[in-house]
Amino acid sequence: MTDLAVRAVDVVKHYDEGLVQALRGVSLDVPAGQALAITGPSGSGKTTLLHLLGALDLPTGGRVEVLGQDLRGVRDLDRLRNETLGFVFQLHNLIPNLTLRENVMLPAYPRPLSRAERRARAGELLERVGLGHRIDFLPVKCSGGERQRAAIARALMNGPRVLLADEPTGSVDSATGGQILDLFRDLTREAGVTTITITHDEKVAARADRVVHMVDGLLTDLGRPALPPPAGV
Amino acid sequence: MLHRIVRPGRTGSCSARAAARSRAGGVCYRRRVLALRNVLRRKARSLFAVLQIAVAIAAFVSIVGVTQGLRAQFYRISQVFAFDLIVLARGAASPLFSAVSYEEAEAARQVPGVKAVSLLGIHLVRPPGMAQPVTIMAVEPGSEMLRFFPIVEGRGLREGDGEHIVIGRLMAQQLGLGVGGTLAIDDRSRFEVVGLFDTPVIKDVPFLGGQALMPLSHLRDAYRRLPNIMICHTEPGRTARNPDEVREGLRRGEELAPSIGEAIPRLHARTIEGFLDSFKQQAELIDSFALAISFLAALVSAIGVTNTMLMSVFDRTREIGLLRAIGWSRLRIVAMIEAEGALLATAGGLLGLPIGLLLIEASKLLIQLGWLSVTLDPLLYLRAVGFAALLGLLGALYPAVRAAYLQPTEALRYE
Repeated sequence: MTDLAVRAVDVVKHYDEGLVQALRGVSLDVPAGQALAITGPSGSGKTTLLHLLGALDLPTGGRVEVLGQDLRGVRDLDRLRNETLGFVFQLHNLIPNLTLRENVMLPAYPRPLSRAERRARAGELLERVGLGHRIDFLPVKCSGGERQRAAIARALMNGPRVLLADEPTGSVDSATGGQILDLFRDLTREAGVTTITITHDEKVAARADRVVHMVDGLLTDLGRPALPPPAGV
Repeated sequence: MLHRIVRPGRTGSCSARAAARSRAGGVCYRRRVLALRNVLRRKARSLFAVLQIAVAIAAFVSIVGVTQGLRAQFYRISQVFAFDLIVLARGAASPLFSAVSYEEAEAARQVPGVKAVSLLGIHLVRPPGMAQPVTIMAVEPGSEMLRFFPIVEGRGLREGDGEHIVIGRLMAQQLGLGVGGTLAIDDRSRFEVVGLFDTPVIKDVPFLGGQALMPLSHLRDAYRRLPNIMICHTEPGRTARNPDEVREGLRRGEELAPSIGEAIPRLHARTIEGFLDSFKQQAELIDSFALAISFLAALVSAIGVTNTMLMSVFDRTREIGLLRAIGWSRLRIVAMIEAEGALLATAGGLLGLPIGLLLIEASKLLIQLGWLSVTLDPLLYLRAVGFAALLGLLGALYPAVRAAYLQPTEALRYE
């Protein structure tokens, strides 16, 4: 039996005392190491689902398990997120007054690492994402693609088991987006990281092992085969 | 290779020593660096918050400095008069309303334990050319009290002097007078200035200092007035050198005072501590009022810090959401915001110290409070900076808690 990285069981999420039903009973199993893409129109509940799977919020009903742990029973969700999960958002969300290296070091601050270890690890990651020449630059001095690559390095800083990405190429042009996705895939596959990516983009979805589709707070397609990868990939 | 990169902490690369280092110094260092960077992001806003704190600390330093100075002055007075008793008419609300007869002074001299007696008259007058009234002390030539008025030019008062006066150097400068000059204070007194004295040792003693000295006989002959105060000396010429001697002198005075009261029932003898008690109470009342004002200033500045930090938190909502998302605990967020508040306030405190000292100097110049002495106490400055840091922590508490309880999902969507 394959180990599950993430599992959602009949997950319901309501806002505004039930006036808004963002998720209406979503069940999903994501095996460890799988690259999953979630597609669907705006407002279909993709981001809400990602936030629940990323332990950023708790469901109104049903349950979410990360690496076999039911989030309702996890006492320290901050620690779980810090040690197990990584996030990449549509907007890079880099802190403007910190250099790229310092931004990448942020997730490691709660960890028992020395400053030298943190700096070294952040430097290695930035080198790995092709930003070795921008280590001590502020985000404002970098291009959109560079910032997003720095955000990926930050997400990988603590060696997450599951990486959650919300439209990771949504704020960059298609060429840059392609480069970012290649990097994303290489890094996560080589390290065996489970990835869950929200996207509107069919090309992005095509790089996933599995694609699920959401409409109106429900998963309507639990795993249609991925499209053939673009030529040359 | 990649596994090593993306699996930190699980590969054993993190040593226990590094962990300890991180927990001890590293966390504080990171917090300080992050706090400093965040504070410097909005320079103008931070500067105004710093200035607010600086004003409160300046008020605090100047008020407490003056208060401590007053206490030190009271102590010095206690040293000078530790072995003396101040005798006034019983029930007199102030030395100005007291009168002591020469017969009563003679009776006091007979009380065992009293080695010498000084009589003092207080004459408040506004000579032509002076904006404020001056206190002329009427003393007997050869009085014990004259040792407190060191002569720097001319001579002191002598037996047989009548319309002769010794004036303080400051008053001489203000009136443009020197030895040999004439000072007419009213139609009954036209004094010849025979000497100038330096700042009197007891300049800060209410009703016992004076800006000029005239013979007591002149007060009696020209104004038909009795002396106001009698001072009974148990050890003429002795000044207490330390707090123990002050206590010893006061204790002896307290033992002697009832004997004087019994010998001359119309009079009331008190130690210098008892004499200054009402002035101390007044000073403490003023202190309390001034401290209340400075605390009000502190409260306003703490609200200023709250406002600054709240704006900062609003501006950084997405960042805080991100930090929460990547696993920063609420406590860590609180610590970050609190560190920023403390940093702002400490900077304000450090700026407020020199402003406070300037404020005191300016006050002394503006209201000509020559007697105002200020204690320059390093411990006070340390307390002031600590107080500022505390204000910063208190002011930043609400924004910090607010930031910590931002929902990461909502904060990340914030625009």
